[in-house]
Amino acid sequence: MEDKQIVELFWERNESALSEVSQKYGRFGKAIANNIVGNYTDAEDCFNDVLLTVWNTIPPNKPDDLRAYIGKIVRRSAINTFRKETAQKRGGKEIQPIFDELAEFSSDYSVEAVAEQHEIIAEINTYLKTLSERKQKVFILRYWHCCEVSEISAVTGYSEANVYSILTRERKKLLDYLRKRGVLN
Amino acid sequence: MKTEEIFLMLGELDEKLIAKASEDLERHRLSGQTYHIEEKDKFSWKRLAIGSVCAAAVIFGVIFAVKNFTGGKIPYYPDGQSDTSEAPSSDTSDWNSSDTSSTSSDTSDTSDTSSDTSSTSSDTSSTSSDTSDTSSNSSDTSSTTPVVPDDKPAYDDVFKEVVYNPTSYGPPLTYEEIVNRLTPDPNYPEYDRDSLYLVEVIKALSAEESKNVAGWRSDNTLYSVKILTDLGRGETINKIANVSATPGTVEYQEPGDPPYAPGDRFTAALTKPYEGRDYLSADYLFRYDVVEENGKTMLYSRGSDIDEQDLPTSEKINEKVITSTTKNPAEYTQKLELGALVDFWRKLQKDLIKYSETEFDANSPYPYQEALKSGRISPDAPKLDLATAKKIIAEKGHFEDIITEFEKVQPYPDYSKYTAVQCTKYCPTEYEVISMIWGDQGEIDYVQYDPDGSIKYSEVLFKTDYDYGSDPNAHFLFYISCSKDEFKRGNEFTAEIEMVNNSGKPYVFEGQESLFRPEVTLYHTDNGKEYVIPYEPVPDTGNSGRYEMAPGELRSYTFRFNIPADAPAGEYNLNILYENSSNFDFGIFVMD
Repeated sequence: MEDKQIVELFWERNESALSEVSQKYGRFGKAIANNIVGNYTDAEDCFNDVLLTVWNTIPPNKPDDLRAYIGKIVRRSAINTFRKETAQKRGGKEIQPIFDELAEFSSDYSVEAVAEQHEIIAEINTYLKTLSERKQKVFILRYWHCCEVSEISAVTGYSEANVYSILTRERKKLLDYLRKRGVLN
Repeated sequence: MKTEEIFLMLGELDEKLIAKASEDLERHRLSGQTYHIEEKDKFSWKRLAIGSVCAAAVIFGVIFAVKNFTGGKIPYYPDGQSDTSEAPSSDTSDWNSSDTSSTSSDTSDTSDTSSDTSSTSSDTSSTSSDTSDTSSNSSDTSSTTPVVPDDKPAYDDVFKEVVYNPTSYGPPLTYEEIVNRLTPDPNYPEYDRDSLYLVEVIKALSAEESKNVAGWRSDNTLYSVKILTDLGRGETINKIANVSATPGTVEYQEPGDPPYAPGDRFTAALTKPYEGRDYLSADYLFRYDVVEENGKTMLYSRGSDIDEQDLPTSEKINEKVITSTTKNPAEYTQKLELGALVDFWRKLQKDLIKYSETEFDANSPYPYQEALKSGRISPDAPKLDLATAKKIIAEKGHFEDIITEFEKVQPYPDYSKYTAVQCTKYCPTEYEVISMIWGDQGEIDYVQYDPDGSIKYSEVLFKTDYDYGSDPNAHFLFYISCSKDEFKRGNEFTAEIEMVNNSGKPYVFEGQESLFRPEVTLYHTDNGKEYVIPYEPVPDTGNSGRYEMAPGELRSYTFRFNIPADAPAGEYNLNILYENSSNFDFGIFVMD
């Protein structure tokens, strides 16, 4: 079923929308969640929470890209689960190395205003668009899909060593860019 | 700002960027193919095929372009049939559990092939891939002239080259990699491999039929097949199913991997039937063409070889054989008897069961200990020692080649962890460590310790003195000449691009020289529509290597592209990019 039709089902409050989402995006969502929380049972729980969130947020929302919409919610839900797991000393599968990498961007400076966050995201999007499509994909697969480097290598055709290299290099360049643009200290 | 906040913020990245990556990821997960860009061990034909359109960005562009030519779908009409909307029925729900006793007269002999492959049926004469003539040449590893069969090939009137698999199959997987590949993943139960089967093609499904069966997926050919034998379990099956196998379609084909014609037989590791899916997937790894030769059932791979260490009776070959179209011969790279593959499959299954009964933490930083604990290796399994490491380093000289060779000697390193840089350690003895660290650059060190923990001896074994083709100081100039600047849809667009090293010092790049070129994108200045422009193949210079581009040196490249029929009218700019150098200036106009 097309995304548009699924969204219409949500708007009609038709519960078959949930099964359509599960069928179409279940694997996709659980894969992201699994990479973050590190075990499939929690990933499934996460995805069930996501379904509830999607049900509660459409309407009023009417996402153009349902996959991206679900992906965003999965990431948030999985991070919440990850926090709980970390408190219980159970680590995530791939998320910890990703956090280590993103730590380069962290600072004491607090960005709480939504507008400010949007500004940063807009600059990151601008930067990513200057990259080749293949490098964009490396970045997105790592920091949006939370893929392992081996999988990124398999998808993009870069060797794993090159994926490491691209990620390291692009993070540095992005950090410089964001600082130059004055959106990050 | 905390790391978690940054991570969550990245969730808001541009949806178009996410969609592009998601599609590739989905395609990869569905096809189960691995894409390794390094092709050092492959035969020259494969390099040529790859060299012609290898840079993945360009290839995605080609696919993108093809899909745009055809309004998003790739039409084909096998056997001259018109497109039909009714998908053939497939009975994948119970073929494994029932009706295994019914025997097919022409396949019963293949039910237990491991013990006597010579007893297999010889009834493959119906296949269009009559390759028997080539058997006498099998020991000749040079590329042979394609043999033209007596019968007219099934798809002789259609062939357009599109490399669907961006980098083709990489070097053969290690045994451990194959085990990992076949280990069921709870994330993807629908892709659990069931068994190794012998199948016979009934027909390739049309585009519309494929769409009905598999939804959006249109970059693999779906076949209606008769599953003849469960080779893994030694049972005759004789059931009909839809199977996704070769990349591309009947019209748009992967070079060297033409579609199968009715009557063709091949082996395949098929997925288990899965609720809601009306087709099975054939893992690329175990797909071999089946040919009867001198009373023996021989198998021919189309580039996806299993390592000869695991199949010692296999033979490396380099043969082009016309199967279903004279325009795209099948390119065979490995030959073996059916029984050898069946034996290998059964060994794999035993190991998979053994491994599934023991715990193995694939994410542990101590893979060797994990492998030992889980019984994947024995305590006397070879470990990488200093002498072997030095020998490999001397012979290979490139970091990634060295990694590959180290992995062959000791598949499970003593320590492996990635935190911004990758660190892998091999410990030949309690007091010795060979460590590899790579991020922007790579280094291999050897350290010997005293029992009290102090360093007794250390040596840098290898160090890359350059980045992987990246130089922050690199600077290039691009000169563009374009065939014209106004185009109608469907017109061919040609750009000659000269690239000059303007950095004042040599620029070093690693890999295949034929892959060195800028990336060129045509993008609409208003609506963001973009097309990656394919390049004209540059002659392959042979093996991968380290190349230098001298200061002031100029290289020319040609890029060609047909303006798609649905390209939005308006002004487009060319984006030429290599490293941190780019040129955005040249504009063309597509007429409404």
